Amino acid sequence: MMNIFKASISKKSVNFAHFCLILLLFILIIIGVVPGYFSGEWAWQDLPRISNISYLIKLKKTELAIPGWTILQQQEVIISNNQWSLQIMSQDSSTPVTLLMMPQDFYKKKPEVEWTNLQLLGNWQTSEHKTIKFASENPQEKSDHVKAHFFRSSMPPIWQSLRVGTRGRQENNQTFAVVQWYAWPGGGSFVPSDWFWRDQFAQLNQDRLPWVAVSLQIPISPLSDLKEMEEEATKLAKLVQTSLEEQVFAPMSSNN
Amino acid sequence: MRLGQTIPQPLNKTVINWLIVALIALLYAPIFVHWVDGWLNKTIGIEHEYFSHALIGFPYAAYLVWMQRHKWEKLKSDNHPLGAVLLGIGAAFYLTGTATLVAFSLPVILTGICLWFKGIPGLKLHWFPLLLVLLGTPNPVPYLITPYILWLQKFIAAVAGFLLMQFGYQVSVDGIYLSVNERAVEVAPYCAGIKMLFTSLYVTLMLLHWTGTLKNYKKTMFMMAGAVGISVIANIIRNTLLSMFHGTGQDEMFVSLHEGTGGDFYSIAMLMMIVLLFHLSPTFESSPLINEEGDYQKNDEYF
Repeated sequence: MMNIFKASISKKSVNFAHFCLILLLFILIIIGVVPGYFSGEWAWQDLPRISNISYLIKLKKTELAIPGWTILQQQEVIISNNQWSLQIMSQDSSTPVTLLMMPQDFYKKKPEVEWTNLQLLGNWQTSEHKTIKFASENPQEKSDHVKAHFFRSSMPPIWQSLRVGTRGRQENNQTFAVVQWYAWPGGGSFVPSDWFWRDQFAQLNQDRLPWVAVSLQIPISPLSDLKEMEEEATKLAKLVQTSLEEQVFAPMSSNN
Repeated sequence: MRLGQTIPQPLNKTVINWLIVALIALLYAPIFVHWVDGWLNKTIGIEHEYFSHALIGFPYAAYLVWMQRHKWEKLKSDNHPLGAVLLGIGAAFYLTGTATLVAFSLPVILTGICLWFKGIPGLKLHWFPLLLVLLGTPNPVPYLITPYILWLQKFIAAVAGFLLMQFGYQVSVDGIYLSVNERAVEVAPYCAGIKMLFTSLYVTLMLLHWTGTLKNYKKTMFMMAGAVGISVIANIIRNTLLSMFHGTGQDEMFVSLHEGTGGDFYSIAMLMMIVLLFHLSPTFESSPLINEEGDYQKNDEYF
């Protein structure tokens, strides 16, 4: 009698394990797959599109207004088969500063080797690398901030690098303080994987995280201390991030 | 329970097992079709290509599981709680609908099933097929490593440039740009041979398992290192040839080797080199083996 009882228990536990799994798989199928079989489309088939990506595409050809700064020139340039916006601006007639921006112009495009492309274009000799943190003027949440790469670079001005035939000629080199980051709504980072994980997180809501690669190049004296420039560079970077959020990212998310 | 009353019989075990297989097939069929289409027709993206070795790895894994089904049956039933946890996590991943997590749900759920039914011994039995599935599941690793392989691109450009110079071509190397006769080729992150490296290691793993060599630690390490070496050398030669074709204006040869059937044949030839290395290299066993059943096993001179 006991043997039969024991046998039925062990058979029950075998069935229990199978039952649990089959139940789980059924639930998954009903929620996750059946709708797809009917419509022929699945959520994972393609990345969600970027809504209002036209604002990002427009950025390549239009000026980005920075309060307190006069824009001397803006045009679209090609660097390593990518379209960048090259903007030269100055404040109170001081030495002009270069703002290079590459917006995401295709929903599948991801931040990858933009910094390498710039560095190779101008044969940058870089030093004194540092990470600086700042937030835009109106952060949506307390945690919104930008993690930017700040360093000294000896290189020709970008418009010279863009002209063929000037690579490697050291006499064209000037010294710059460079700030670089991938900007997105509410923050930014110079590390591509930071963007990637946030974008993955946004995808949980069928949303995406649009981005713009930003490279700010401020001419400095070869003898100056980079630390002195940090406050000024951070202030300008903050203005750029704020302008991007107000003029590009905000219109993108509000016009839905 | 009164004597004579029949005990309810559990459903036929085979039926239940096949039901589970059918449900899993139903869950992942659309995904498999999508992936295979992506690998065969290159419709998804370059990072997806990094996992095309799954085309042979997944069937082989299924074959292994099938061949070991009697051993699986014989294992004691053991509902390891970690199995339930993994099944829960895998289910959550699947329901998110994002490509990355849905893909990753596959190895998680399969591992969860092994643990849920047969516990740790079940995992030990099927660790290799599960590893094949894990390494063949498309994931974002190729994208995440691209900013960190600049040194490899520069190295390849430098060596390829050096080789071309030995053959008398007019060459100049500038970082990752390799110019032959003033026509430049860029050694991009996706030309650095990481895909072929992944595939070589995966195929080597399969070869070692198929021939029962995985137990031989020295030979395994030797073959893995050899696969890395062959893959890097083959990629340098490939970039050398591509630069030469581009520099001398042989554009059809360039396209063929770069993205056409020439490239496919080149990859197959490279994998053949690995098989050759396996057969020509020593067995690295210095003493006779006692195999698992306790039988004396004579040392093989030839593999």
